[in-house]
Amino acid sequence: MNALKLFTVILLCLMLTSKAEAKWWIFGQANEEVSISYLYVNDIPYEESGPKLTVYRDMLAGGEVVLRGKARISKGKIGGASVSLDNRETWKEAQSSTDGAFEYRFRPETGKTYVMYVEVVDTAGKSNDIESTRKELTISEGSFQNQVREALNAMIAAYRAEDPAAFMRYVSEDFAADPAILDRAIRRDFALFDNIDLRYTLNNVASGSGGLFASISFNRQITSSRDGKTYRDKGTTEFVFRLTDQGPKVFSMKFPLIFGLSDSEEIATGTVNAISNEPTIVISSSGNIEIIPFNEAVNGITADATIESGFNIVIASTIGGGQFQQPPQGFDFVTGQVSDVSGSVAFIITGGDEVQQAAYGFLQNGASINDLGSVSLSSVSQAPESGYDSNSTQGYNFVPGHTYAFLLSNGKYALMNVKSVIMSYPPTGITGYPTTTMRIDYKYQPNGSRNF
Amino acid sequence: MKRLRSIRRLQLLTALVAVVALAPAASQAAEHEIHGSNDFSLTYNDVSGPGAGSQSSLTEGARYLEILNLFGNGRLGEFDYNWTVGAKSTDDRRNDIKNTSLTNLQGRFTNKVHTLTVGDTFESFSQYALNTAIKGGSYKYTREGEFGTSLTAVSGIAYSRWDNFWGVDAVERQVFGGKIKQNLGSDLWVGFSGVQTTDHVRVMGSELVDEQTYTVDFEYRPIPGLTIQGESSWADGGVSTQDGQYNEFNGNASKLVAIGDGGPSRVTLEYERVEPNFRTMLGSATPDREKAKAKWRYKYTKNLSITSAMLWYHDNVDGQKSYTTDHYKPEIGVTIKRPFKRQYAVADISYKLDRTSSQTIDTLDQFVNTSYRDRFGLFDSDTNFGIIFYDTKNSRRAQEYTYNTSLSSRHTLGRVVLKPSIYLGGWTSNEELAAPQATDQIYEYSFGLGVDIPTIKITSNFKIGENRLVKEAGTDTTKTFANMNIFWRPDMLTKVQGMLYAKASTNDFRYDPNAVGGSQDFRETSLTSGISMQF
Repeated sequence: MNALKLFTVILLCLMLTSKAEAKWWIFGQANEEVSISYLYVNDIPYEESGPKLTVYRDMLAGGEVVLRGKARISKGKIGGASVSLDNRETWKEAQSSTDGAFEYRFRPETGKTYVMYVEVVDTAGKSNDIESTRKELTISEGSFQNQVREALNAMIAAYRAEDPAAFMRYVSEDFAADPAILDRAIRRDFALFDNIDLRYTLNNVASGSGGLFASISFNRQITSSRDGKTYRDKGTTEFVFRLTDQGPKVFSMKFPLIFGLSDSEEIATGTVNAISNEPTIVISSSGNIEIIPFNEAVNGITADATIESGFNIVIASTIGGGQFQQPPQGFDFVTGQVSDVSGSVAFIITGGDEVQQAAYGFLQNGASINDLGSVSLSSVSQAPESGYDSNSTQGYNFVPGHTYAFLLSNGKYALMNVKSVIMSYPPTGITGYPTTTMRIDYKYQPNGSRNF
Repeated sequence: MKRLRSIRRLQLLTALVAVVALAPAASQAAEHEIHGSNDFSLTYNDVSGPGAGSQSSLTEGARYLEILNLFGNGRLGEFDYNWTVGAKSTDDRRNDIKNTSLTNLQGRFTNKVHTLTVGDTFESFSQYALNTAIKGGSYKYTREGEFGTSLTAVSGIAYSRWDNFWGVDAVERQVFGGKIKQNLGSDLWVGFSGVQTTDHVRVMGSELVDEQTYTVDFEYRPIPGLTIQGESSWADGGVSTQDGQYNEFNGNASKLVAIGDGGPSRVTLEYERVEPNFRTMLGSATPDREKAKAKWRYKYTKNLSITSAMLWYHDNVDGQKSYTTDHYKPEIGVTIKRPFKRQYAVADISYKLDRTSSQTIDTLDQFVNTSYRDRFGLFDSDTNFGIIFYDTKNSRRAQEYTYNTSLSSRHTLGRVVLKPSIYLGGWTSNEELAAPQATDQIYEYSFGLGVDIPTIKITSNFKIGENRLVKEAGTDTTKTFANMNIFWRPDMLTKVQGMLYAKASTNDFRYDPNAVGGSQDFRETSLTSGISMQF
């Protein structure tokens, strides 16, 4: 909420200072006596579309280009607005109202480029900075399907060439998941993939007030730079594009992604209405490439987003003379906390086995355990479905190097890798009892699946 | 359930057929224009080698792909109309699961006050509420002016393709919605929208969602160059899972953006908060995220521009998790045109940082990139160098170096224009904490030649090269590739802007050592010829 407060304060400052003459964010532009508040060409913001704008013939409602704007003056009244389409050789009057709003419509010729200027004058004859309104407007003969195809082709070419700067040219500044997140993700993709090959066909393209919508069928082949293997998959995905002067730019992408797989859960702002359960390439949290059925991949995204984990966590108990010096410690996977509160932990350690150099302990609270042996935590992508032991009266050895799967009383799964066990004794001559210290890494899957 | 589904589909298809039936009548109108595009290609793929079946993404044998689009527009009485229809056909299952499918179907009628759209309908109410196309229709009433109003109503099914109506099953996601947008003066508008989505027919064990989304959005331009936009959306619904459970959810997503644009500067401030239980079926959102962002793009001089940005976001918005993960992504980039007073030179340098921290993970990744484009005599050059430092506390320390350079040139020999090019690239990764320390490398080199003959309207390019992945531990991979593309616009096809094309490519993959159980080496060759037209 602090961020919201800070943002609100900045915004209030902006709005309050709007009455002042000097405005830092427009660098003195507001000192002009006649200025233009905003301009739109067929609902595309004028300043966002750059010096050149291409409008596609098929997207012109009624075959017309509509220029809408609003002028503002510091003193006096608006005298009128006019538009030039031929590099200021001739001017045509726009329909304007007394509040400064104006509109100009014309039916353009396809394939032609218009050099457009907008002039607003007040009743004293002063005008705006006409040069700053220059825009080259081209009416493309190409269909919007072709424009989507060209944008996708260019993105795929940049992605195959592993050129992040070229790729990001086709991503809207308003990209729903944030362009910076996509930028980092494709850079990680490029580190993980080699020999990227992507082909697609368009399933559906629609144009409207939201820009352009495209559904595609894709066919992909990549080599993993991690293991040197070649992977392939195919599927259906969707894009939304916004129109700019450089053509359509991606506004949002849905899962399964064809770009930015390394951070799917942050980049995909939706999931396609799937038509098949085709195997899909996904990147695990450890960076490995996996091919799993679509439904599992969707769950996997959720899993990756919510898997909780911790490293180098120390659990220690001291026992002597048949009594605990303090309550024995255990671990609560749900909260990720070491605790000596017996009602919350999945197990406690009560001592050590000097022969095996292992910690010794008991299950708690209906948890059950499965010793997966001497495997690393990252190599376990799924907890076993069966084989759990739930005897809470039987002691267990927690052996360094072993990974254990837990089925907890809440029906959720957890993994724990024992990194080390140290038995320490008080110095000779000092009264005290041995302490068993166990260092662990863990993962907890709160969504109830066995996927890690 | 199936009967209900059929009825809904029938209702929608009846409406669409009615529109299609109107098209011939419309074509009789005095002002009518029709045009289109067509692309037909034949491809022959050959895949060989022990790994062919499991590795290659090409379908063996001869395959075709046909893409047709037709467009029309004109005037009928007081109404302007336009329509589009498109289809594709292929027998390559890796291109599409259907042989023939409808790719577009849309009709739109408008007299600038009333607008009716039928078929592919893409009305964007807001990012969170409705930001996808549906198959159905919309009606929009627009009264322009300082206090003008627009009303929009949409209805349909959110299928991703038309085939979902016949033969390709997907969840039937029914959509109803409306939006009213009111101008409050010429500098401010406010919108209210509501969208109801209801899923029918479970497919592949998917969840079925029933949801209402209510949204308010606005845009305010208090002074020239400053735009403030915002939206807030409330979602309320339930999810029915395959095992009979029904879980209710509700959540809010809000966003506020301020854009200052004028002179040499463009400043963007953005704040977004999406609750964990905010779920949007037709919009775009990443649940459980609070984000703040500032970006400043400044054109210092005609030849020097600077972009700087800071993005921060985190999860655990409602404190529902045991800990929070914060992400910080600051960046700065400088673009210099004409450095060293060289006319064609452009230099870019950027530094990006990616920090993730929580009580369980602490990473600091840094990305440095430089690029330089210039022309030296006959040669255009483009050189890039990038370094990434990965540092995850107690887990990973690694560096990656990316470097590539290309040289290209252009020579005219009589009627022929030759465009030779060479590319040299590499990637080195060094994992410091791997045991033993691992260094992997990728090398790629290629030679290209473009041959254009403008007088007979031929353009072509050829490329041959090799890509090698050399791993310290694991499988080395070598890909040798060659490809060729020829495009010809013969005079006889000028009227239809026709183009004939031929494409050929071959890729030879070799693995060392090969997988246990046998070699995975394979070779794929693809030949394509086609014709495209626009009329």
